[in-house]
Amino acid sequence: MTLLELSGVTRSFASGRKARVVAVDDANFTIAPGESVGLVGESGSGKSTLSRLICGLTPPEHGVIRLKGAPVTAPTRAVQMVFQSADEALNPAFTIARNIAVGLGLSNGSATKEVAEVAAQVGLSPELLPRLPHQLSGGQQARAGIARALIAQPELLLLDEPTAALDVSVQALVLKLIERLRQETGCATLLVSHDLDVVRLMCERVLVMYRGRIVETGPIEQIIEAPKHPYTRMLVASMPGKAREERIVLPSTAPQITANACHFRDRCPLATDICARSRPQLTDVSAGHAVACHHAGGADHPVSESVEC
Amino acid sequence: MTPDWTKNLVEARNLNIRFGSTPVVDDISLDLPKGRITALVGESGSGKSLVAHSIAGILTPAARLEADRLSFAGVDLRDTKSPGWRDLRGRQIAIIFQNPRAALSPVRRVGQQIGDVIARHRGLKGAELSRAVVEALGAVGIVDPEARQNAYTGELSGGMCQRVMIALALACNPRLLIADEPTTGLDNTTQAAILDLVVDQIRARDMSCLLITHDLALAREYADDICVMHAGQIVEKADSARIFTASQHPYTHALLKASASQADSIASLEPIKGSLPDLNGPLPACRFANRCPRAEERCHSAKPPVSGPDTARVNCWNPLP
Repeated sequence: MTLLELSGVTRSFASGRKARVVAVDDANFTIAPGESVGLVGESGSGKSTLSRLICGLTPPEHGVIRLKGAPVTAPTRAVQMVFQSADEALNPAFTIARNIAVGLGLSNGSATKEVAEVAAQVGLSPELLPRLPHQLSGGQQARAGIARALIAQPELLLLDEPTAALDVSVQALVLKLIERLRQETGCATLLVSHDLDVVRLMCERVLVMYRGRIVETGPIEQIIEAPKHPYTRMLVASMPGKAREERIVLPSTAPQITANACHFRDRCPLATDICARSRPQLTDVSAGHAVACHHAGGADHPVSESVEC
Repeated sequence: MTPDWTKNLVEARNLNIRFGSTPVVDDISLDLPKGRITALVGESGSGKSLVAHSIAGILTPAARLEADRLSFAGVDLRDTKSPGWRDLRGRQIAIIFQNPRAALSPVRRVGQQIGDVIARHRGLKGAELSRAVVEALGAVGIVDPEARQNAYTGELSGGMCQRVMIALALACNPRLLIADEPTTGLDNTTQAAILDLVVDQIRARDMSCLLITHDLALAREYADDICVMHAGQIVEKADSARIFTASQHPYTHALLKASASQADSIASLEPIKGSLPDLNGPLPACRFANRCPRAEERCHSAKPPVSGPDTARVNCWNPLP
């Protein structure tokens, strides 16, 4: 059974007078009920646009997003989002209770019973509810942001870098909270993060995005232990503690985006003619592990010392 | 007083920084030896940036600094009006910041900004100056520095801006580079490239570095020594491998247990109990005492003693075995 299904989802934006930037390019994947999926990639790779598409905040140009079979065309209660900076995502003029009630589409402060229940669930003590967002610590604000999403009883929770701005110990608290809520509510999660360590702890499966395209997807252990796409290898090698020799950081000065080519070819140590002529498609390499690369099956990747970013 | 390069680059003894009556940095002592990279690690509010700023001489005027000693190559850094101090700063002590776009001028070409520093401290002019600017940009891995020197920061990516900032900091071959969260806000691939570059340059030029970071995993990879701060106090200092394998202070231990990069599974991740103490309120002698599982009576009443050799020093009444 699938909860969410994307087929051929594409979205571009105007950039200047004539050019268009394809933020999400032909995304195809599914999420099962209760599954925890990670979405990784560098800034500008289209992670946020993909989250907005799934939420129904941005309509796709091509392709269809289905939630339990029904096309998503507008924001729905069943898909809720937790935003990156909780302090900016809460209304500064609303009390915490009222901010949480917004998740039900109410902003008049009713639904006090539901608010109290969900606050208890995320560990916000009742005396914080009448306060304003700026009177809370970063960790408490993060809890309020999660409570607002949770009160709608979503079946899919989108988490956009939920701990990027938090200190180590608060990050640990929030990650454990998200995991507990996932167990309790059975809700599926899509965690957007650039921190592979966080994804490693929180997700069963991971999607790797590069310049609008999903270039690799598979179980998290396989992605970390044996990444197939040269870009994923570069991401994994950038984690602190990994061997420096494996880091590939090549010129990215003039990105050449051509529809009918591999977007990574100008940074890729394996690139050959075919990469400029033909777009690699996601192809299964083992059960549940797919990669979009003409050379993913090839021999060891060479090392480059060139650096620019 | 002329600099004495045979000594430790920086020596701080009983350094205190207050804002009004709030003691934000409490009685810390720290040496930065020559040719080593020392990481100062702590959560936000631990005072690590203030320590860096006091060494660089850019502490905000609202802060009150007191110290038995704060010296750079034997030159007193406490007296910011002393002659020669301005030559030390910029020439011998350079600093790079978290947000390079904010630290550079948006309305001058990056080459001009680097040229300013070189002209001021090295006295170069004309063709010699232009050559030095291009060299400085080339040294930090900027491709086609001749053309890039004419760019404005708005035309460069975050990673490129940080490279320009590093070029600017290294342009005068300083003895000490202070890197204050140099890669926060950058992508992971860029972060690795930037820190690899900084470390290569430091080793090649035989410089010292104070790396400020909240990320223990980064500190382990790039620093020789790690100094852990909590709420304005230094709790432990050891060589970086030792911090991870044989940490002695309960706070360091708790910080490792709470770090995503150190955990095997979400179940093994352990948040630290309680929160940072309110520095305006009454504080226990050891500021970790209220959060500490090993705390005793005396941790609240008396300053913890410093024990251990230079390679594994801990400020604790009841350190882990």
